[in-house]
Amino acid sequence: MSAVVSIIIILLIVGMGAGFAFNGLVRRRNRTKEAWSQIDVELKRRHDLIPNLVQTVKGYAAHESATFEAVTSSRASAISAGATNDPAAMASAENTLNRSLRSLFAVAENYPVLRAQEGFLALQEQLTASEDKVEYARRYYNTSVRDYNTAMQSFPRTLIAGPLGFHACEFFQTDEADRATPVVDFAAPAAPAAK
Amino acid sequence: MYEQIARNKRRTVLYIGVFFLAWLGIGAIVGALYDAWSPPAPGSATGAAGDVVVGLVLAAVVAALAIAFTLRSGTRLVLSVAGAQLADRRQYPQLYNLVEALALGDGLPAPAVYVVQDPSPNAFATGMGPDRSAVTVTSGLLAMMDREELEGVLAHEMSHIKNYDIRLLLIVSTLIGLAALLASILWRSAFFTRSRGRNGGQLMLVVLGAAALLSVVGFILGPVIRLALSRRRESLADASGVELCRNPAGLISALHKLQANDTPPVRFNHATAAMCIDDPLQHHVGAIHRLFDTHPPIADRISTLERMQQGLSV
Repeated sequence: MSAVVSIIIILLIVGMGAGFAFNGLVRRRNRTKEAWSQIDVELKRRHDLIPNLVQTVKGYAAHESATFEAVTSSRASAISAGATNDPAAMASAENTLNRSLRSLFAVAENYPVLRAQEGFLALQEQLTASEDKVEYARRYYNTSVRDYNTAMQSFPRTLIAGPLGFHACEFFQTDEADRATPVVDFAAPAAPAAK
Repeated sequence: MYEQIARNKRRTVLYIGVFFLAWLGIGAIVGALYDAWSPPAPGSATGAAGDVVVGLVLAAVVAALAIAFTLRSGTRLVLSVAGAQLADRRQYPQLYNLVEALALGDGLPAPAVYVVQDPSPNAFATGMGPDRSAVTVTSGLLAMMDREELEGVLAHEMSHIKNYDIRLLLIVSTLIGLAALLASILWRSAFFTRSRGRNGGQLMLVVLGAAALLSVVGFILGPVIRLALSRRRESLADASGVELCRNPAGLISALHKLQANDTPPVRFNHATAAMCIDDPLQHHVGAIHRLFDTHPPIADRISTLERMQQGLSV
């Protein structure tokens, strides 16, 4: 009799533990998803800003067509990488886009009239801000992923995570060297791109 | 960091509890004093215990009303006392962009953004929690700081929001303010009770006793507790702000500018000083004065951040 009671009690405790573990995993997974969609929103917003910027700079520096093409094509590949929802592919496409944008701004530096234009300054602030937002959203996403993955892979949650369909999430990485502000030096040839 | 937030929440409850008990104690003492000095009215058999209970109940009702009021409209009150205006997004695009970006980094909803027209550079955060919060900066701060420095200052303010410092300070300040207000009302009314009847002298003693107790809470004990609280929180917000924006240089440079600044503030008073990034009233020197400071000395804050900076860059 007492053996039956203690078995029932043990089962109840195990069941409750599993319930809490499950809820904790769901909460972390949802936070990670939300963080991911935030990155998505900010990336789209940034892609939408770029044609405007290209148009503005074109008005002053029409002959720098190679730079414009690089920006336009890297934007297109960033957008198609975004459609795959694959963090690794997206990160590398975004890095290429960042580099082409930097050379666009480097070009703009050569045109004082353009730099003084109010519309250009506003665009520059918008782009800086959206780069900031992508960066902050990325950090929050990575923190959430780390939290979720750790929770999922640690005992005893790891016992229920697999059978219940929880999978580890992938980090959204950018290469760190790329994040440093580029030094635009007109006298020297352009520094080789990092990595 | 999560630990720290949980500790803050517990401490909020603790401080509110202690203040509430202090209130009840004052109510009970006033009731007892009233009983000791004024003979019970003929026919009423309540006696000492009855007066103490009446004092307790009155104090509890007043405190409950004050806390309810703070929870409902404390944020609005602080903002309007500081003369803060809701910032126009088109006029301050950079400010909005930075606040929104930092909120993304914390995974919090973006707080409302307010600006005070004041040449003295400063900033504060207020609100009841991350869902209902506001960040306020002065026009002087915007004029003085570049983007990086502004980001450092705003990251510091966002940390106050994330850590629930804003709610703790708001509630504690309200309770202290209430004690101070009641104390001054009682001091004044002591003058008017003087000439009334045979029991007037005794009643005045009761009023003076209550006023003295409230003064101790409202002007000495309360502020010292609040200031100790806010000093600890400033250091914590510096650290977690840097953790958020990963760039100590911005906040260091901003603090250097604040240290050099001596433009007197127009709109800030003692009540709002504790919430600001830099004490707008004075930079004190000396142990006694520092007991009444809302912030750790700015030089100490800078050297702490510089140590963090070296730690990060190694």
